[in-house]
Amino acid sequence: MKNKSISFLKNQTNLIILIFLVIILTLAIPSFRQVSNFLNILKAISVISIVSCGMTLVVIGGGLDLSVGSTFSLAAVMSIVMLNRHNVVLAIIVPIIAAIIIGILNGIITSYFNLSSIIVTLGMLSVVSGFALFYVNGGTQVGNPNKIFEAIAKINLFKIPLYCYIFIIIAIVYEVLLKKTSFGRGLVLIGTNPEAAKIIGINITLIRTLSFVICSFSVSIAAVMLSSRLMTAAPTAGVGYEFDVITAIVIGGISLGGGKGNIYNTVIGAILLGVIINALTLTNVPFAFQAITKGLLIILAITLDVRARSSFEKQ
Amino acid sequence: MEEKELNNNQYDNKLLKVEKIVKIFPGTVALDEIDFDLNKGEVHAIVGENGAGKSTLMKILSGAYTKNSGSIYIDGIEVEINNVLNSSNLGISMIYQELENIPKITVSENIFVGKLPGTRFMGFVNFRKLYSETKKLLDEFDLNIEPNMKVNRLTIAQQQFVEIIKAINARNSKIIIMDEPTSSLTKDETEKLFSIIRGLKTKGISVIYISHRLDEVTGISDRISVFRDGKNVGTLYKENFDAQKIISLMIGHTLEETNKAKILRKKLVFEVKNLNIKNRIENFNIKLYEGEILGIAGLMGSGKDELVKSLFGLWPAASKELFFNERKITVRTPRDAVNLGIVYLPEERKIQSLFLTLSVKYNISPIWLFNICRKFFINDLKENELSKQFIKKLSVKTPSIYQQIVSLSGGNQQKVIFSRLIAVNPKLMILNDPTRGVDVGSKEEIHNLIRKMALEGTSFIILSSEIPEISKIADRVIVLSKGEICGEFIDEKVTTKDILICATRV
Amino acid sequence: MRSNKVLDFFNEQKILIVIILIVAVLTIKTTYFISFANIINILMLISIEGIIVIGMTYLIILKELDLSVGSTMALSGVLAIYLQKYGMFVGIISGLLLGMAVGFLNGFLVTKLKLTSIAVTLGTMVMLNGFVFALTNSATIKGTNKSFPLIANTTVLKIPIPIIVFIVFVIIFEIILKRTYFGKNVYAVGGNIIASKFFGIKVEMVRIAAFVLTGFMAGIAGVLLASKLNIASGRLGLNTPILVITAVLLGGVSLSGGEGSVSKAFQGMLLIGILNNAMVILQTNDFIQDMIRGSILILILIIDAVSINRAKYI
Repeated sequence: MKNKSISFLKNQTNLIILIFLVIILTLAIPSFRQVSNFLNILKAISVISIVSCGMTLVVIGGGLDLSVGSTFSLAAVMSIVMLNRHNVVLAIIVPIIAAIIIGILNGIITSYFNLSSIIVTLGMLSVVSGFALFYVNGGTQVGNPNKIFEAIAKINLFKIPLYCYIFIIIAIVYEVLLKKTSFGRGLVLIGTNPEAAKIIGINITLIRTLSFVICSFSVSIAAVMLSSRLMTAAPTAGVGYEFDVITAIVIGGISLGGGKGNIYNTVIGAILLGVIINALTLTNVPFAFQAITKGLLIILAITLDVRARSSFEKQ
Repeated sequence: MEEKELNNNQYDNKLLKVEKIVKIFPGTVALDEIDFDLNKGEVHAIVGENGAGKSTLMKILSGAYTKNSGSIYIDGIEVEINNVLNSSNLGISMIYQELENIPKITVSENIFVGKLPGTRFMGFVNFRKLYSETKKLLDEFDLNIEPNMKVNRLTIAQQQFVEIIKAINARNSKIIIMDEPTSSLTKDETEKLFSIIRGLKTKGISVIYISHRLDEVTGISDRISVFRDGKNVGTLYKENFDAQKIISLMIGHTLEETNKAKILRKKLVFEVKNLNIKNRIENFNIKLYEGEILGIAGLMGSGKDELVKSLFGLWPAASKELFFNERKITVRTPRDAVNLGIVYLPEERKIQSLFLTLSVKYNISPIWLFNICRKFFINDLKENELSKQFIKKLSVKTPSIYQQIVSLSGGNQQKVIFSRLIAVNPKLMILNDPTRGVDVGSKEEIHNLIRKMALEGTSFIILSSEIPEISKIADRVIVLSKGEICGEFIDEKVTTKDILICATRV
Repeated sequence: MRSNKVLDFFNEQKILIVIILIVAVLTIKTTYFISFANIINILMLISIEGIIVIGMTYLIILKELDLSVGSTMALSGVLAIYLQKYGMFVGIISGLLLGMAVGFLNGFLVTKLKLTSIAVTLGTMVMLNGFVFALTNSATIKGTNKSFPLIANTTVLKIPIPIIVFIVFVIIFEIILKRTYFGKNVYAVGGNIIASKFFGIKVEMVRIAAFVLTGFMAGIAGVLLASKLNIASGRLGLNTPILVITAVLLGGVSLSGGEGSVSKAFQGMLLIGILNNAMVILQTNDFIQDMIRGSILILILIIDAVSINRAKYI
């Protein structure tokens, strides 16, 4: 019983830091206190957090997907192009299908040949970003006005945009997938001890591929939503995305080695990151220093993770 | 007067003297005030069953373990061996089975690692000198190995020879410990090894030689010591070597109280035909009946490990025909096997079985989850029930099913893994060293469990390097030696002596 | 030994063979391809980032990776231009020192804190990127010194200086790798770190040195790039880590460590340059180049994996 409460508390460190931080900021910065500001934070993090949730599944399974940025770019431009040339339905479905194909490739190549997912997805990054640029000949796509499509971003329920709800729904669904299904359990087992998982007879290829597919799927959803919001898409829209996503995951306390963590961690990590960036913006700290902060946070987070893991091993 | 002088001389020549060493592990006494000594330029072999303490003493000498009490003298001076570097500095080298070579660089770079000859220009390596020095060393031992060849392209035997040369060159060792050095060598290669050892002797370097192969050991050693139950029970000199005497010293007076009921071999459950594994197993055929416990005994290098792994889809076989209930089956991956009702218990549970960071519950349920209860959504209640049921059935000592498995003892961890396998009602259980690192109490419980399940119709294939275990629990024992069955004992009272004689045959 | 000597040779030289094939095919199409001017084109394309490839080779042999090289390159370029006002050499030296400092930071974090190089260099990459945007105010800053652009834009015997620097470095560092203690230690540590430590090799020094080397190379590349374009910007170097790692792996240096060489990595980089150039000549789409590069990387990985697998059971 003692163990259970200790691990529960440990899981809440980030939440505690978050609450603490929010309290301090609310007292210190007047502009932070506004409800509209909290709304801004939510809006700002929703798109990228959807991708982070998907990536979390991959990371727990012991992998890493560095192609999310370029997949995002591709999905975004495809969405607008389909909107202009055809209709809303295709604008949503085609990017999703393309992303799923990318996910399947990532998963199968990594699992079947037992390769490092980092390098495979790195290669896929080049392939997909090249394709994205090729697809639109390098040009930023401007979407023709379309009430239905724009509605995705514009509809508000209690002043909160639809896409924020989509984020919350996805986070909940993925958490359920992770904790309550055999797929999620399989991911945790594979991430913890791949050799033992193999001997047990788990279909490693299937489960890992599924995690990559869900990740890419999440990317396409996020991209469609962003396209809807901006009504434009640049083929370089997602450049650097993978690093932001990994930052959120690492800050959330999830080990890049796999086998540990859950969606909840990632969400807290994303919110924490969002709050910090928001605070820095409100106090007019230049964008550059925000980046520096992000880098420092990454290193801090992984150092803590390694410390935690080595003290566990000493047991 | 003369006797005393003789004694003094003997003492002067003692390169190594080990007195009353004790080593205790939780639950067992591995070394029980053991004595041992080594002369300069001598080949002193140590024989004994598994668990007799040979490896443990060697690990203490090489610095991998520390002793609980006792003394070690080198050249008459008492020393403390605290770690591997320490041991190496004292002139002791151990040739491990997992070779310490750096595979992708050349022979000469390995032999001179850390001591590469330099040139006038600071920092640059003198390749000509490196080559000639290496060639000189290799020629001294009459080894026909090309110094510029990358080590991973040599045969295992050659890699081993390189390691030995590395030990005397890079580390200036005076004592070389070889643990089962010939397990992967052919007859010619073994001869080569022996000539190297004779060469070492002339240089005044001593060798501690551990092996099960009595004929080899009697061929090369000056003295043979027999270890049993953590004690040195006898040392024989060359003139007095006698295989029977050695074997009886190894076994001691262990009584075989097995009153085994003859099992009814009615239903053929599993059959292997024409199993060939490259360099390991040749033309293996076996039949296994319902409720039968088949034990496979054999020494290192016999191929028994790869044999069972290939049955489970973990090792590729050049040819393999498997029949389950008289129907032909294909097992290419562990998944195929599990789907058919065959489960496997790996020998290294930490690396191959346990999900260390997870709870007991998560460690019991995986096969059941994925193969029996194949639902998409996990039924938490059922999973809890299953885990609790098995904790009880196997008397696993744990505060709850939510306990992290890493905090359980070895024996209890093994019982959890057992539960994992039993949970899917397997028809055939392949167990690789099931009681390794398990305390005596849990060991007994596991044996009883196996017997009980066999009576209820489960068939077993059990591998163990502990001969008493196999002879106690198995209905039938086959002994493997160098990839072939060299003996089969059915329903008889198998004695350890029988197995040993068969297995040490070359 | 079962090895087929002929098959082995082809396997070893597969990149070189591909290069020769492509050159042959393109020369048939247009002799311009092997003209002096075009060769200079190709080499110029690969020289600046090629310098970083040299350092990355050492790291990959050691089983490490450095994702921060692009940001390091960008930042040292920024320093070189930004600090020009105090003198051209001040700028240059700062750029080079920065490279070494970053390398040391990476090496320190990886060895002393025992963190994986991917995670660490990811962190430093993001941080340095931040510094770049800070110093440039997210804009492109132009160089103000008249002599600075001359460094990268002058030619000696009609060969631009960056190419000379690149080739000279390739030769020097290949010799260091193959013929000095340090080089031998790199192979030993990459091949079996535990055995190396056991035999007295100062493993941590070797790893830190390789990171410092790579950082320094990135610094040099940054200074050269800044000189060539006479600008500094945060948009430079974004693709660099991927390009450099791809080149090394393409050349046949394995991620499993302990083997490879600078000349192999050079071949990989050369292949990339030739492919790019060929596609320009054939007037294929710019963006397809990225796709082809990525696909070739994945293909090489698959071939690598399959051959390792086969070797295991031989």
